[in-house]
Amino acid sequence: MGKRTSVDADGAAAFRKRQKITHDVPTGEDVNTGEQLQRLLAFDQDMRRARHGLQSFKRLLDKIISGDGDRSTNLGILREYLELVKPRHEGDDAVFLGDIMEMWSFAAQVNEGGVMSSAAVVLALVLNIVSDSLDLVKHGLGICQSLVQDRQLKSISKNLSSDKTKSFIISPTLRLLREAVSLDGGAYARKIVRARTYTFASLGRNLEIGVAGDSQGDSGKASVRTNAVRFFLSCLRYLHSDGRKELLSQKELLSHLTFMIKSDPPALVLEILDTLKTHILADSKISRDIKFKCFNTKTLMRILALYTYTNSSEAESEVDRVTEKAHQFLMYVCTQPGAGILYPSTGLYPKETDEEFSVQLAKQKSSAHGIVGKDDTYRDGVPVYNFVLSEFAAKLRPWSSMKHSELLTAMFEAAPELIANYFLNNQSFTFEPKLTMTWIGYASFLFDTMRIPLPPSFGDKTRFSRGPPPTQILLDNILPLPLNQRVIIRCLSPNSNLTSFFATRMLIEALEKLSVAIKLHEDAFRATDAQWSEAARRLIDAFCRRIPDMKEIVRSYKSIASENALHKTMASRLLLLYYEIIPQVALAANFDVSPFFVSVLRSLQDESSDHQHDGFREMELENLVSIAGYSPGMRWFSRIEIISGEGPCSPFTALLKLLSSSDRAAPLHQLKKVLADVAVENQLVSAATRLKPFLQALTMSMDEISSEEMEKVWPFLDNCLSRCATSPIKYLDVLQNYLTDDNVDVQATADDRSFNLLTVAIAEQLPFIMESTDAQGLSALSNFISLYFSALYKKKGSDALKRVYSKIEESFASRSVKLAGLGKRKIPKSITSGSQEDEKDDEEGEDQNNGEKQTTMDEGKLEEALHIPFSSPEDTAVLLRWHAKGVEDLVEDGLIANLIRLLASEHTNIRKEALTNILKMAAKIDESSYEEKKQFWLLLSELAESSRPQVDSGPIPSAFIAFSIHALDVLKNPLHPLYPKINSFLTRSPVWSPEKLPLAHDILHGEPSEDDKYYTEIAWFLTYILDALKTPFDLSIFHKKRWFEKILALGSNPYLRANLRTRILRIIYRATCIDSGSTTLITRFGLLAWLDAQRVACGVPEDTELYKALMSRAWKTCDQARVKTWSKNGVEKLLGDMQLQ
Amino acid sequence: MPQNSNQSQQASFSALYLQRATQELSEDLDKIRNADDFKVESVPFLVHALQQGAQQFSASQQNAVLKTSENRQG
Repeated sequence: MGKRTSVDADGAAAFRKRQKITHDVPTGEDVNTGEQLQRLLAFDQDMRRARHGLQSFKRLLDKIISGDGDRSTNLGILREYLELVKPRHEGDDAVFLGDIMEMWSFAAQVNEGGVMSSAAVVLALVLNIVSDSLDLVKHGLGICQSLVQDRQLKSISKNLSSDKTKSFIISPTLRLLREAVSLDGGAYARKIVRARTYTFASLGRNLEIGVAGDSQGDSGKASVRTNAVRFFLSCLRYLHSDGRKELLSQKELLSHLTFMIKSDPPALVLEILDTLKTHILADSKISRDIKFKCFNTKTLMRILALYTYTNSSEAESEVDRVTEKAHQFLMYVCTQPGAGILYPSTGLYPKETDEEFSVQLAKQKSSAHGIVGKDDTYRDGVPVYNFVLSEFAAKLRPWSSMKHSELLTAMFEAAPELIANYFLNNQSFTFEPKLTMTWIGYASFLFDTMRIPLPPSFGDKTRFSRGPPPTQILLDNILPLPLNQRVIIRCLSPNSNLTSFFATRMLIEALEKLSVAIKLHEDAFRATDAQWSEAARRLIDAFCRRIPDMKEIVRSYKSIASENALHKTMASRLLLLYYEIIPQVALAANFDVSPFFVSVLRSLQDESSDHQHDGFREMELENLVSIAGYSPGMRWFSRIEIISGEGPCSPFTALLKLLSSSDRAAPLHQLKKVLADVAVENQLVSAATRLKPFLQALTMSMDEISSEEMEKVWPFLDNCLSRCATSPIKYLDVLQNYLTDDNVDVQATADDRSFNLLTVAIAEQLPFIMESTDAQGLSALSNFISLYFSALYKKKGSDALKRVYSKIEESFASRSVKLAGLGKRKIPKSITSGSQEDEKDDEEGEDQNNGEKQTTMDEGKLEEALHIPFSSPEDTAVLLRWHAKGVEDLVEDGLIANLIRLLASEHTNIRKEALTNILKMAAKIDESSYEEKKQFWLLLSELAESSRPQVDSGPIPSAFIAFSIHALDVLKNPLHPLYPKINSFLTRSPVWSPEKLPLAHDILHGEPSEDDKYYTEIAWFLTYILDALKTPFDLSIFHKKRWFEKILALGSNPYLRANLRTRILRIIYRATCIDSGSTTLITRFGLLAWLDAQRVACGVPEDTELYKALMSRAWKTCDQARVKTWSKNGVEKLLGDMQLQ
Repeated sequence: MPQNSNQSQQASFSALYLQRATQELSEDLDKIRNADDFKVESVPFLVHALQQGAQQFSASQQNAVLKTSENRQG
């Protein structure tokens, strides 16, 4: 016993020694035939010989792979050998390469490392070679089948669990397994993974035996880890989704996989990332839970560590590829909902912590108190769905790495709920201005975060319909927490252009985002909801508390040097946004903008300064002018010295000069708009023409005459503009003279779109300036004036304008200067191309033309559109004809309908005949074998009984006839939606009241028989009702029972389809054809007002005309005297207004 | 093609914006370059930070500035 113990004790050491020797002396011989190989590989307990055989086989296989020598011969030897050793019988227990397998198993038992290794090496090589050759694959599959048999599995397991220093055994085994998994498209992958007790033995450990543990120390040779990783990745690649799920549920495998990823060679890292992405994350069949478990914060952090991946032995481009790939990978994981990590979230509505609680909250949604209380609760943290991402976000360093910043903002965009959560949880990092890269990085990250648009419906449609998101969270999305008033003021300080520039940009972004948020609060149904308007007010208040006062912004703007055009432009834009979005803050500062825009004007016109960045300066000017538009104290027309030496001039004129100068590339829409608004406000020009003709004339003058000549016109214009603006009443009186001279009526004055005070001022001032002007100046002046008046005239001429022009002509004639005739000058349409102002004007003009072109709908067209002939001629022959027909023919051929129609005949005898025949017909049908005979019999009998009392006195009510005829169609078709209603109506009462419309009430006021058939029923009803309205008696029923009211109410349904609406209009038209129909409709049912409302609401020009024509018809056919008295002449006014439109 | 021309306009505007910003903030940028935490790798980040504001200009504004700049240079 003692002896055995001692052998066992040093057994391991002895193996190690022996293994070292055998490992170092591998022998082998060249193989020439399959038989020789078979002999060499015959099972032998002598491990040296076994190794010799395996080594010889390996040499052959190496040659095949490397292509040394004659590859096809060598391949032939292999084929021959494989055929020779093929098992005799096929079946699950057949063992391929039985000798090698046995040797391996024996070696494993005696712990003979060399053979254990060589067997795995050889098998891996064989699988590798046969996988390329179609006819050999079957042998490969046989080998795989043998591998998953118990004995081989034990050998595999033994190999894999070898001491971690024995990589020469572990690595080939992992290679063998990889080859086996990937053979023939993964045919055995599932079985190999299923046998994971053996095949995955020590995989976790093997995945962590890196280069350091590799005894070979040979950089060319892959480490155990590399082989283990490749095996694992192959499993993922070749398994189906179910297999992958099973594999991933293995504890910690992914953690082992990523543990050392930072020290892996680049190619392996790329392979790992690619496979994980393609075969796990992008696999939609793997459930979110499994993915979520695999990619926890720890795993994500390991991949994040690859951002700083280094590898001294690899080229820099490879290292960069790893970094880039890791970034793409994380971007994918963190932003793609399908990847399983990003959870669907509810945007700016925080996660509801307790479902029941939230339902209660929803019930109390109208309680404002509850909402205010709720807001405060988020000061301790915002609950989120994406807690893993929230945890991961906190580990990122967006201020020091651009990729971190990109990743984090992408995460924010994918899950906006994280924004408020992130800043609330990470308050330690302040935004105190410092001129360091970290500050710049943080500023850049904050800016990118602010650029993320607000999600539609604030991220959750359901809760959006209930109420606004918490103010605090919305505010944090607009203006991230680190940006508080104190910090922003410090950033704006004049000490640093850079911090002030960055802070200005951020504030612009915040204000623009705020205006979007406010708009979302005020659109559609929310406009009238107190809950939303209250929330909007709270948001603005909270926002204003977080941003600097206007005076800080003004101070910052003032401190920017004038040559910093971009910075000044941004600052002026910020000022403008204050005025536009939070005027309550802006107006409190009492900021006088005029000196600033004068200085910008100066720099634009100053010849000596640098003009390359005038684009920015013009933008700044536009902003300032727009601000001036908001400032009530702006003095547009007081003259100041803008450019020294050129004399005083009003800011308004200076800006006009700028606008009309020809070398402007920028369209300056904003500037034009503000100037035109000012001009209209001061009554210089009419609201109809605005400044367009004036600018056209200026631009053309600048083209036609030299700038020196033009300089003589400007003071005159400036003078006229100022006079006009300062004493408008005086010129209004003069204007009145021109108009009253004309004896025009008020209507024509309103039409006079071109007339304005400026023209009057020009005419009045002209004689004074002429006295002091030389010939050159006069010609320039006449040129401009003729252009201006022609432009006005082209827009729309008037007699008053002509009169003013003739006065001007007289003045020029006194100095013998010839003036071109009014409208003689050509004004090209595109003279001030591309301006929005112009376009708007042009559109107006075109609209007018369209209006003129439109032909009104006349009586004939109206009749064509709406008139339905009263009835078909009486067919008395039917009284005899029907007897000869069978019941089915009666039903199908419409003979019943024709017979019923005879009840409406004027002749009593025909009506009586018809009644008798109907009763006979009913009896005939009842006796027949026709399937729906009872209903037909019932209908005809009820009709006959209801008509009997009426027949002698006159035509029976059209309603009876119309109902019966239309009901016939329904009874023929049991699938008709009205079938049940008609049947129940027929069984209700044997006689119909002549004072009622049969079934009408059931359709119009009852529930539809099927939910989606309402409109089908209405369509049937409207057709029937039209036929039921033929005589004054019918009209009286419609009137007494208020059916018109109900029909018009039906027509007010905005969702009514066009064809139904037309049917209603047809009924109205039919009523106007009946005596006193129009009068009844107008005086009793307010028809004209109804039509007018429909006309205004419809928006389609053709329909508008239709309504107009119908109104005229109603008016023409009514008792006009009565209607006039009834309406106290209101109807005429209504029609008059309508014609004017 | 309009998309391409749009992109190229954006690219040229971004370049102009960057150039302008760099020039106007040159003094402070020097201080940043001398700061302790400034590394070679920081350059792309700095460029990104300066340039990101170009997105705040609309296409028509960008076009106007570019045209004016070309006119005045040419």
